[in-house]
Amino acid sequence: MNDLNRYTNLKFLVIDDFADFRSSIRDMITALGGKHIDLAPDAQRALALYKAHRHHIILCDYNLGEGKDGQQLLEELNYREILRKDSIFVMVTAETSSKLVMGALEYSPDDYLTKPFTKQTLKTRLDRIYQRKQVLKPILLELNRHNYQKAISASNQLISNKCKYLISCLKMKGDCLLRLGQYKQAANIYQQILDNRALLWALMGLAKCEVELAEYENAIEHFHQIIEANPFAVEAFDHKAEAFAALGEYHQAELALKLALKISDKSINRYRRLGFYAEKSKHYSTMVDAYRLTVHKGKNSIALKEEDVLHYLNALCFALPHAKGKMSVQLNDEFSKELLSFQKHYANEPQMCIAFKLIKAQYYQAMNKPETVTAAISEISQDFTQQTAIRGFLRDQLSYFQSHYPNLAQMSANLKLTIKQQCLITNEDAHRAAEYHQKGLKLIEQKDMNHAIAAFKQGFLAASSNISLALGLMASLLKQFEQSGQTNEQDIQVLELCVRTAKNIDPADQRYTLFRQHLKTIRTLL
Amino acid sequence: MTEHNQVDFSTVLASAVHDMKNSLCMLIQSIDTLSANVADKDPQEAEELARLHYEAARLNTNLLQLLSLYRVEKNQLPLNIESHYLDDVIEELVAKNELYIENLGIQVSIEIEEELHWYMDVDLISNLLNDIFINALRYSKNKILITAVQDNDNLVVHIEDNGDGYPQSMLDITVMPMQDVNLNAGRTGLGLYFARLIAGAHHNGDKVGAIKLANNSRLGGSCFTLTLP
Repeated sequence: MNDLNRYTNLKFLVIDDFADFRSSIRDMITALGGKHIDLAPDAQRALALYKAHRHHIILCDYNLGEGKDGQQLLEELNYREILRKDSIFVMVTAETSSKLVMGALEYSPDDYLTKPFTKQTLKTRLDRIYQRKQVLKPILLELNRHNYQKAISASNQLISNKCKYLISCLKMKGDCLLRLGQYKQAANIYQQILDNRALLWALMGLAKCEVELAEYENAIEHFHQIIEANPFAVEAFDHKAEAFAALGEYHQAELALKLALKISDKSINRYRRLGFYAEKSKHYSTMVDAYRLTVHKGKNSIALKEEDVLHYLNALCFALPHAKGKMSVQLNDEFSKELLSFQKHYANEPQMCIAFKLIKAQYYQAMNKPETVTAAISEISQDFTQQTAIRGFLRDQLSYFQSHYPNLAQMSANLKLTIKQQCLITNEDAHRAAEYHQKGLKLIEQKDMNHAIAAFKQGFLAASSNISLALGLMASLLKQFEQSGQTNEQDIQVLELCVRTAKNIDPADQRYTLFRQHLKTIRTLL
Repeated sequence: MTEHNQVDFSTVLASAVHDMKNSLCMLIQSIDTLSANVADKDPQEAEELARLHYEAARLNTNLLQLLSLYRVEKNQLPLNIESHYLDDVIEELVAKNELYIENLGIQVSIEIEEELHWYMDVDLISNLLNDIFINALRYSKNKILITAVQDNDNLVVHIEDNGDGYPQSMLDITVMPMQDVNLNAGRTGLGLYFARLIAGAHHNGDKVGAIKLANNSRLGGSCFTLTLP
């Protein structure tokens, strides 16, 4: 197509919170021949417009006032799988803000354009990206269909044809391999790039592979290098925390997440995990703060889960005996007030009501009121006789009850039995978990599926919050189910626990693709 | 006021600069629109607008440099290193200043192999080159030559002109220790200080980027050299 009318038939979306800038950019596009131009003042309206029109070219300002910024919009478009990969997304900035670079390590726009720019600059840039995307189209179209295997073949084809955009091809190939869970191959790609130049996204890719391959020390070292070079690399902090946690170094994990929160405090998931790590490292005031913020930030949001409410109440209750003086009074007030309001909110959910009763028993125990505890336990025991399908959050609450208040769990035979039936007994030991993880990976390589499953299972039961183990175990269990055409009760229970761990994966994480694939398989198999 | 409440002046400055940049962007875009409208009708007014554009662009470059220097002071200047084709980078540099080039009637030639690409933070390097290029436009008689080649394991970019060359005081700036650079010497001082900083922030293994000023241009005037590892 000739240069003059290239843009006539393309749809444009301009996002900027300043009306003047919007119209100024619109005028430039008109001068370039563009006819279909939509304007949006914020991310929310942009999202609606893009869903309706699937624009070919998006020009988005980084600062969009209140609400989501340009980078967050790009990420959301990506992980909700709305953005067509052959669409052009250009981030417009007032300056090359270094904070921009951080979020963009992985979900980077096709280009940055610094204000002010002329019509000529806009055209030069768009022409260039357009050409690049034309060349890469075979890969991009497969990515639109989430066909990662075929996208890899397409990149291989372009690489062997000495494509001008070799690095782009390698980057996409690495990403596809991560999404397919082929970590060794992905690590090779990233290493190949790093041999040439220390590019941060490649280092990030490599470190992520190392986490999945249970090479935690290497991963931590590489995340550290990324952070040294780019202190805004918030994802590197997140993953570094995960690697530390896998080694059982929860305090380090907690510190890493605190730094991540200093850069960006928008993610509920980050608070959730901080609460968990603080709990493990017995930093009860951080634990309470983090779980409280999870609930408060998530209020009125679908991101808030029943578990978050329970974690928060558990944390308050558990922190109570450790607090002194004024602090203890405050926690007590907070607990009573919050419990009451949640009981009201979840009044129509019987299983949440039971969970609250368990927490109340924990509370009486903490307040040293043995008679009230006994009465509460016998009520709970009654309640369970009326429940058949126990939901995940209640099962978690039972596990917590069993591990933190074993004496109370012993008080009723029926409760004891329920816990035995519903909960897998886990025995946390990070080092043992890491050993079994590595063993499992080796056995998979040797195609010894049965022993691999056994090793993963051992590992997972020693580190039930470890996402990599959960995914590894899911993958191998599902493969076995598929091959044998048989399932068994205990494995299904394990599988459920894996799902509960893996659902904490951030949607922006490549592993989310793998997790969703596993869920699909589960639905067809079971 | 307690120490806790005291706001760091450089942070205030940075945020003010941000605001100024927004206004400046609007200004520059308005000038562009005006220029496009009067270009054919009134050559004298067009020339006036071109000068206005040049001054506004200079201001913008200054503010960008100020922000980058602020970042350096705060240890917040991470580089966004990616591979870029040099002909793209230079083509854009020239396109950005088209108005001014035409107005001055300067002949700009480019010699870059199409295949040449290099790792850099393209925004910082573009700003650096833009500042040098604008200076060359100002002091050149009528010719500028931009070249880029790979020399051993380095990228070498030259911007040369046929003006009178750099004065001795400027030649000194690039060789003296960083802390001795006299920023009171005016804009050229700041520009070159910035250029040294940005070039020096690029490294690969043990090798570090650098700039060099000389008066040995093939065109007879000044020759600016940027080397990136």
